[in-house]
Amino acid sequence: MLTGADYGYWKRQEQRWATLAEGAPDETARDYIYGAFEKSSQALAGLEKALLALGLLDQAKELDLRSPHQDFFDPIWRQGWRAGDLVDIGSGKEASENHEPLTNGPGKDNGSRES
Amino acid sequence: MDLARTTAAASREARAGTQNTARVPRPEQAIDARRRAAASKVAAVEKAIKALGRTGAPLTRMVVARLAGVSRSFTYENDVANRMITAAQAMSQVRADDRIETRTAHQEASWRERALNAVDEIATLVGSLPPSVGSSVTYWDNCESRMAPGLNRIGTVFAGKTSSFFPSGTSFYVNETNSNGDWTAHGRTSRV
Repeated sequence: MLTGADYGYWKRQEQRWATLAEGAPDETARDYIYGAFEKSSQALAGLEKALLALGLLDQAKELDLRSPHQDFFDPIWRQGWRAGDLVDIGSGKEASENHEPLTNGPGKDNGSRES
Repeated sequence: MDLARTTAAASREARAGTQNTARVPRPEQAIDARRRAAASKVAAVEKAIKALGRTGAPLTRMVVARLAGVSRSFTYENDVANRMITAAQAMSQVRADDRIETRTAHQEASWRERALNAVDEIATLVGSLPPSVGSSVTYWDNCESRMAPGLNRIGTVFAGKTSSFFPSGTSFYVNETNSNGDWTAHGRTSRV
């Protein structure tokens, strides 16, 4: 489970791993490090997307975990997301980009809706 | 005359031409692609609804649409997505109502039980006092500064005070200073 309060910590972790990967001696090591953190990155991207949708992202970025005064009933703390759901949300492409390009003419505007 | 005949023939040809264009095959590939796109969007909406339901975050169309990566108008115009969101919203509303009602009922039951237990407890304690120790204090009847005048009952419990601090047959004064002013009562304990 991840909450908005976890966002800052895991974002720093992601940056740490990226720094580590970029400082790797060769391509294999670099890819390995990025691969090791890939799932977490996807979950983090999903968390970011979810917080943005709920309008909580700014609050999550500004949250000071060192402060002893925390409102644990705040949605930032209370609403927990499953990591699996977040990976789905984070790794999924935009649904409107999911279709392959068409070859025949009239279907070019294979629009964003079907009702 | 010739001109009229020519015009009629031209219009016939034009009509025939219109019919010919109608015989162009349907863009099956485009239709399939569009159907697949709609299906993938509906799947994304379903996932978003499930995730939101587990989280307990407010289930609004805007949030669902953003999480699923679809436009908000899609959630209205696609029948399946629209029905899913409406049902989920109704369900979460029912669940919330249910939670509130259940909680209120539990609390009420708890308070009722505690009140009844307290009454039983009082009755048990009063009954268990030995006659030599138990003595009723009579000043309680004068204690109108703290209750409505003439009222000596609280709820269903008779507000007679039983005290073992004073031996029976002792005179005493009670002095009390509070916001209502000074209050003094003279009492005398008597045997129960």
